[in-house]
Amino acid sequence: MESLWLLIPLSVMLAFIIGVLFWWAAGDGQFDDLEGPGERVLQDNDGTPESVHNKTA
Amino acid sequence: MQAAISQTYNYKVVRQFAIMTIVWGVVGMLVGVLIAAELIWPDMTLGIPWLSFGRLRPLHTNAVIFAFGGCALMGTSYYVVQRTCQIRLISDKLAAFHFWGWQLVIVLAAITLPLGYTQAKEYAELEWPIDVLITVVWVVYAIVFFGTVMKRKVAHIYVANWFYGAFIVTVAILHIVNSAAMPASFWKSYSAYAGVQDAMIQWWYGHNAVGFFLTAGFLGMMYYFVPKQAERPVYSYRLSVVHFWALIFTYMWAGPHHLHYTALPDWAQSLGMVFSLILLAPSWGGMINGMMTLSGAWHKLRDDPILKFLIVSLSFYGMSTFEGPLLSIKTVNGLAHYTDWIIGHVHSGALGWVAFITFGSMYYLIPRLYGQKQMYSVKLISLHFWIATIGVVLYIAALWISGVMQGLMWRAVNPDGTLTYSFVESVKASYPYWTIRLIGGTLFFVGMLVMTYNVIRTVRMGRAYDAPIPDMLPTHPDLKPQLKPIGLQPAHGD
Amino acid sequence: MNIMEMPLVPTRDLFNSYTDPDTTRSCFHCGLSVLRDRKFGVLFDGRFRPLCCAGCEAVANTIMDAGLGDYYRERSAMPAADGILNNGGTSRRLTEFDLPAVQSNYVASTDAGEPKSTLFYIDGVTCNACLWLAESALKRVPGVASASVNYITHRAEVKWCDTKTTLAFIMDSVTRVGLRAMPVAAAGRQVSRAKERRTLFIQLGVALLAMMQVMMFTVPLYFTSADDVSHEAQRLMQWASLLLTLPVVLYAAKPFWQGALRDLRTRHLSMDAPVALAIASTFTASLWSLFAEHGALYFDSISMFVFLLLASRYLESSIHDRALSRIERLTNAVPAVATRLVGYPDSRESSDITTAALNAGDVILIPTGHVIAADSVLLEGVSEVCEVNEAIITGESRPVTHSVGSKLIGGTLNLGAPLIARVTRVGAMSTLASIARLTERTMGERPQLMALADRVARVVAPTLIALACIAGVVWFFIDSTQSFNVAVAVLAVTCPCAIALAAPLAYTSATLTISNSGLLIARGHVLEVLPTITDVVFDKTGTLSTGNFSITKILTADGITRDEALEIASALEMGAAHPIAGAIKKLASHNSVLIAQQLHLIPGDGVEGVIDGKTYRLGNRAFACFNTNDDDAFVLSREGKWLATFEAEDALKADAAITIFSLAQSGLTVHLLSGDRISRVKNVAAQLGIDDEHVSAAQTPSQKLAYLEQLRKAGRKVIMIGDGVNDAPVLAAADVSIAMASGADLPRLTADAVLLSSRLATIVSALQLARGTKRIIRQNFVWAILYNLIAIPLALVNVINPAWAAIGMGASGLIVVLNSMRLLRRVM
Repeated sequence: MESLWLLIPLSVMLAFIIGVLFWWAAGDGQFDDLEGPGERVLQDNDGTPESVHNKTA
Repeated sequence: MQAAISQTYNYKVVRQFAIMTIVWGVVGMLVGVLIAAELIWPDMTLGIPWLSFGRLRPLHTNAVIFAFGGCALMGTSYYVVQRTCQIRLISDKLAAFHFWGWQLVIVLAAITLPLGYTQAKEYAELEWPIDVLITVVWVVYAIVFFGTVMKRKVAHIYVANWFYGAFIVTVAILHIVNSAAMPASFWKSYSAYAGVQDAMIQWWYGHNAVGFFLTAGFLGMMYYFVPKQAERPVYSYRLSVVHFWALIFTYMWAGPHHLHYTALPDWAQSLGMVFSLILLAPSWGGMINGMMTLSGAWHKLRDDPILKFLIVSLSFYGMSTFEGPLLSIKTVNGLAHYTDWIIGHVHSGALGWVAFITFGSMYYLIPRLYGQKQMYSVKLISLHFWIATIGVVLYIAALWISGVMQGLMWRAVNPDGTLTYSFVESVKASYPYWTIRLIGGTLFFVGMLVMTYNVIRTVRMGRAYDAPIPDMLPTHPDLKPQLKPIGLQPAHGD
Repeated sequence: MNIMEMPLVPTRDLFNSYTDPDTTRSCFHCGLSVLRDRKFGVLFDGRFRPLCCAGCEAVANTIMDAGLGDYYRERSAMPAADGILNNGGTSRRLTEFDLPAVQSNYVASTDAGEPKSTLFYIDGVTCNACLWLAESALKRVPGVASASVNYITHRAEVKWCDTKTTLAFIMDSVTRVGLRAMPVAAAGRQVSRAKERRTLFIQLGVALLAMMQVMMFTVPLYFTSADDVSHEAQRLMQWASLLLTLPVVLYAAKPFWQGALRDLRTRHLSMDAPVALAIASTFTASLWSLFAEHGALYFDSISMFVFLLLASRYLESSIHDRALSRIERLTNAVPAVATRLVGYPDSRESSDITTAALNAGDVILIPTGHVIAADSVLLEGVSEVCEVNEAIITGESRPVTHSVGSKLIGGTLNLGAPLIARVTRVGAMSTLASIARLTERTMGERPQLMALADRVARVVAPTLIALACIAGVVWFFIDSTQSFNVAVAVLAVTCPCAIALAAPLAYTSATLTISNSGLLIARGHVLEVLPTITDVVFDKTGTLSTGNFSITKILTADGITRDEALEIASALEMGAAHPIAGAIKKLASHNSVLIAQQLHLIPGDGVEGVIDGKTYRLGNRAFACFNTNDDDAFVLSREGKWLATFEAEDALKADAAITIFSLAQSGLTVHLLSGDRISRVKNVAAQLGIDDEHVSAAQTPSQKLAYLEQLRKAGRKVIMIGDGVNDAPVLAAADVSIAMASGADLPRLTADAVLLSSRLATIVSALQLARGTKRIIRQNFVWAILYNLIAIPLALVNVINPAWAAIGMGASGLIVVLNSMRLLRRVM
């Protein structure tokens, strides 16, 4: 069971990292608006403008 | 207008990774076809050792997972993080180092693996000097990615970035822990762990590599490209955030199911099983969330082959995340372990989910990177889709049947307690299915070639294009600073 | 600014009826029809797109020029009609916000040199593309450091430098793209509540994470024999569990520690005290066992206990939050600035004034698309159609038509042409403030049942601690090793939370659901009494009718035609606002050239006027014909001689019949009391299917009161539905009274509940919900009592160990919360 001596402390450490991350995310307001970000991604127009089309290299 | 723009996104590194995704896809799948053929005609490589199955198999897995899948993840993550944070990557030099470093890793793998240099750990075969290089490149990747996230112009971090971030961090930890080894010479090392410990660590790694490399990373891709291509917001953004946290809360602990009926203690096996079953919930939540993005717009699926790729990839994701927990149940595992069923399961995930979502995303991405509205030929995308789908179905069905058959043959006993079949008999019985598998795999490879042609034509038609960062657009004169708003009448108080 | 100069913005349906179909094109920006001769338009995707008016053109051009054309691709709904504003007018009004006195309410104080922070409410939003448009517009204002719009609350947080821009300019940038940004006054209470909720959410998340991880280490041990796992491995996992439980005890369980401390200080035990005691004792015991290397560990139970309790608490607070945010929305609905016409009616000179400075009697101008600043009476409208959206009060989005003399409610939206109105009530007396106050009071008022549950819980807490101590002592003599276990199990297993929560949460949820459907509950006991009701009494026919009269019969004298009579009557009623006048005007020819002069309005009787030198009268028979024979007919006379009689009828509400039918179906007896003529009342009763024996016409208020008391004496439980203003004593005599509010009367109403919407069916659904609430409360109580009756004895005899006790209690509370939440329907 030696591997447990590595994996268990590692998992505790990870749990704390995840916990801190969650704590930061909630405190930073990452969960305040859970609708807008989905829309914002669509509103970012990443199409190429007409002027760029049909130019040959 | 163009002249006024000084700030653009770093599309260059995205382009490089995108092109190499295609290149390594062709290479990896070609090797796959080759070793599938070797199973049927073991002597076809005339006994050349570095073309033998044992050496090419790790090359195949490394090429498709880390070269094809890795480049796709890295390229798309750089694209998504820039677009959703509305800022250029923090360092072009580091990004370039990351790209060239990763290509070097792949090339070294392609040389050392056929030569037989291996740590003999599945999915982590590469020897220690390459492992060190991977670590360096990965740290650079993390610096560029998280640095960009930290400097973002948008307060919220889009859910895709969370998934990509989890993928980057976790893979780093997994790699470092699992690859810990004592070098004996430049091309030889011994694992830091021994016996069952090594196996447990290896499958903790193996399982989570699937979980965070092949799932979390590609879910990030899904949460960006499915809504973009469908032109609809993800069905429930709230659910996608829940999906992320649920996945990272549970995924880590399901690893031991790869070691059912081994020397691993019983309780650890049971634990692995329980968590594997729990895992079904977030996985299917994510799948339904992705699919329902199209609710009310299912007609789009009819005409748009890119969406077909993306949505069918989600159904394969759903299928393999159902099959996975099923296989983790000890009794089912007793039948399926070590048979072709597992290979089929892996490929329904790898071909159906990972490759399909990558194809869809690349078809979306590549025209945008080369100043085009769409790919050179939409019809060819459609053709690719159908060839690939038939290929996957043939592949999975064949291995599913042969897997169950093998499992049943191995466990069959005569009344006197002796085994009914020898191992060779089960191999012989598998030949027809392996042939079908080869046909399926070849079809999938042909589809990849169709894609390659389409990409080459698209790239030649357009030219490298770096999109401007929207916020940097010049302000309209009407909205320029004026301390008094314009009114038809003099301002109040005059 | 002359009101006639305001551009006439077409309303959606208005023009459609006038344009002939082949010329109808729809406006690219707002979707209204465009008249052929209008020449407004904008270039989009290389094509010329028609626009309906100069307002739309200005907005569309701004959007296109700013490079925000994607808005037209992304949007899924047309913009709100009120969004299309006249630029000149609004820009000027907004400068008011740059006055330091006004600004101080909206700008969070920051250090000098730091960007200021202001919260805006984005109004006029019809789809998510609007929010994007607002955000993009805000971001492009030079001097704005950051802007982000919350898509759920429609609020934008803007950080800006006061050296580079002004508040008015920021707001103007949003107006230019066809939306409105109203600054929101930062109230300390909201901020601290949001903070509290966020903390609770983090605590919940931490508890969940820790719970899952601790279970990871403990659950396998439950399933395997101890020899299967080596001692060292067990120790390792125990230490890991301790590490993971620490954040739960030190951070996530904080609300319970604080609660217990408060209990100690106030010497008034709440449920937090036993909970805190349970956590503290199990944690200490586990620590002891860990160091002593023998004994039971409860780390998994602690984290699960805390998680389940926090989950109930979080859900509970989210219900209250929704109720409070409704109040908040009401108080924020009134605009900050109003336009006052100081010299009205002699001059139309206007000046801007903060709403807080308005007084009753002031005359205000409400431009198209603006929110009415205060309760007021309509004095004049530019066009015949004065449409107001009263959704914020009634929950109905269909606009309400108003005519001169009708009451406007502050906070509602003027959709039609500009209006001029006289302010009647401001501040705390206003309708919105009244609704907010009533809602708040109902939330605070506890029905008897709730008060009882509260008392029970208060008694239980100290009893419980005592019981646990006694059990511990008793067990010490039976089996000293089990003594502690039993005491902790008793402490943890008892769930008075379930009893305490059983009623209040269900009531809060139901009240919220009912309020949102347009029935404002003003008294706490309503929900408790509603399910016991046996009789429904409609007071007045008017309760069941719309108040929109139509002329059903016209009798004329010889020598005058029906049309002539109508024409004369219509001329006499030129400026009148009462419902029958409207019915006459609707019927009369619009080409009439008759003009009445020397119009005299005699309140309560009718109107007198001179047409072509002859004096006409229109009104009741006594007034028009100097006749003593009075009935409620509407009579026209010339020089005292009878010319015509108009019989008018009030149309029944569309859902009156179905409402009465459903009430009767659910086993209630429906009564109709009315002061009206017998024939009319019978007619109404027949149409609605009310039994004759339950109909009484020509009733005086005292007769109504007697009728009601008789019913109650017979043991009936009565709900009375009336107009609430003139019949307050009658309403007060009922078990539950519901007033039909024409919104603006609200502050004067004394009823237990007020029907704000015009839908009668709301009463039926409220009744059903009240019955549902009763059912749910009963379920909650049955569950809570059964659970405790079974669990406590089991714990006392040491059958349940503390681990299962903790799970049982947490789950039991959560079940009650989730069950109560079933009453939250269609909220917001």
